[in-house]
Amino acid sequence: MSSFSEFISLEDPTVKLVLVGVLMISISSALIGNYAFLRKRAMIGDAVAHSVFPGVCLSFIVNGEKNPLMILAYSIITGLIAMFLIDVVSKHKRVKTESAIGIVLSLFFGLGIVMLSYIQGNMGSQQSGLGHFFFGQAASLSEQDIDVISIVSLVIIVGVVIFYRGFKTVSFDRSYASARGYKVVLLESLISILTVMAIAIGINAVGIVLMAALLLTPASSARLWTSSLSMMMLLGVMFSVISTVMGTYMSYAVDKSPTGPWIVVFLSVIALGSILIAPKKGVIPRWLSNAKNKKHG
Amino acid sequence: MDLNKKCVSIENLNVFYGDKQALKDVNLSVPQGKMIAIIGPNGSGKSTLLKSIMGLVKPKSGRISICGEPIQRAKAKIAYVPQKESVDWDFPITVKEVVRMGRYSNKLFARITKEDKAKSQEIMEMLEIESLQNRHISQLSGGQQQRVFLARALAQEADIMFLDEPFAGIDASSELKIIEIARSLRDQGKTLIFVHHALNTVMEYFDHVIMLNNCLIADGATQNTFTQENINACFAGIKI
Repeated sequence: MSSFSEFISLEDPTVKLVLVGVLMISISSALIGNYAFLRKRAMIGDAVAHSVFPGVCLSFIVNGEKNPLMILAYSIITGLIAMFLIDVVSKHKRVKTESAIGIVLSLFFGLGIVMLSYIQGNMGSQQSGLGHFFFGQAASLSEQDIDVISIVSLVIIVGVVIFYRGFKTVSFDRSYASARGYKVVLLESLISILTVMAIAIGINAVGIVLMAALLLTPASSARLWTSSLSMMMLLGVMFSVISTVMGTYMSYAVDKSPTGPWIVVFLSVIALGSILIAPKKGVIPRWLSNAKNKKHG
Repeated sequence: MDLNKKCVSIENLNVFYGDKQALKDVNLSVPQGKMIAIIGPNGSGKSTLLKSIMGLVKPKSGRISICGEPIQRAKAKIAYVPQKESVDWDFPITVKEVVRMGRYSNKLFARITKEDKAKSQEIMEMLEIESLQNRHISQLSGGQQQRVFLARALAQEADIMFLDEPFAGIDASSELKIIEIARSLRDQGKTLIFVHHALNTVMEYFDHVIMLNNCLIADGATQNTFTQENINACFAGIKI
């Protein structure tokens, strides 16, 4: 096992490249993920992650190669279509949102698999690598990938900072925001677009199946520690950075182990720890305060 | 200030939820500088009327204007205290942050200034919630919660305030405090429109009453309008 100091010195250029890319992904997802979490649209993140897959395949079919910019554009388009369809289907009186999410998720993922089999059967050898999108393969990120990831992440981070008040007001109290004359539809669409963008770059590193964890686990853990949104965002990013550094190190140290799943393991450990020990809301502090109350009562 | 001026006028308003008609051919005008109650049985369209005026519900037909302007151009003139059930009490936000929200401009990039902070502080003191300002909104009593949302509306310094059942589930002292503040706002010429439930306080609290049961039963000065006959017509078949 290689040492942590050797890893964190970033002398190995591949390690540096991977770490920068994955950090950008995890920071931007952790930030925009707060709004999916707070607007109680957590599972939509999962559905969209599955729905960008046909976009990835379609980009390959149309362009005949794995061009990161094209893959991004196509996956954002299919992701947004999926989000739009979920909204349309769940507006139908007799279909609940959770069913709408299930229907759209399977439809798009199914389409993606059909396209993938077509590519495998009919197109040249360049298709190798599309399967990586299932679980992600951070180690194979190219410099071109990192460029795209960095630019998109910066757009997301800047968007979250600039529109902080608008996003917060709309997520907290939609009808108040609307009565005040906020551009509610515009703000909500921006949140959706930034979320789809985060997912579209994220599947490179952690894959379709685990992407929801990068969006939602930091916010869910941070919420247990604080009652302020800005603090929740900072803590979520911190949890994400720690998990990403640790996860990338583990995949570097343990031969042939993938980065994304390691990151998710560390994120989940932090979430579990938060559920247990977070002040006031954690299981153990609540248990202790109940015991104390009983004693005094 | 012209006290006979109409601040909200509504012509032939029809609102549907799916197949169900919530408001039918409502015509009315609301006088400026008064405390106004919208009353009626459950499901009579009280909240719908409020939401239509504020532009939150899209009517099937009809015209609504606020101070002679369509609602989209008059949003800076209105403030809104929503029904308690419609607030997300789990959202990570403190009392102070909710009140300051009233000072946010709806411009996308606007920042909050020193004066905004001072104004929010002043309003929290007036409503006696300044000692709670760093608490999360779920850690308050019903009356305190209602005062926080009233404070947010006051922070906007709007001319017309809409309050959707502000007295539901709150203690008597909070109710008195809210009424006291509402009266002083009215005396400054502001208009306050309440969706109200308790018939026993209508006469005491309000200058003007709008009685609804999907269509308009009556509207006018409380003294002349809130009569037994109109109450019977409005709540026909319902045990009060």
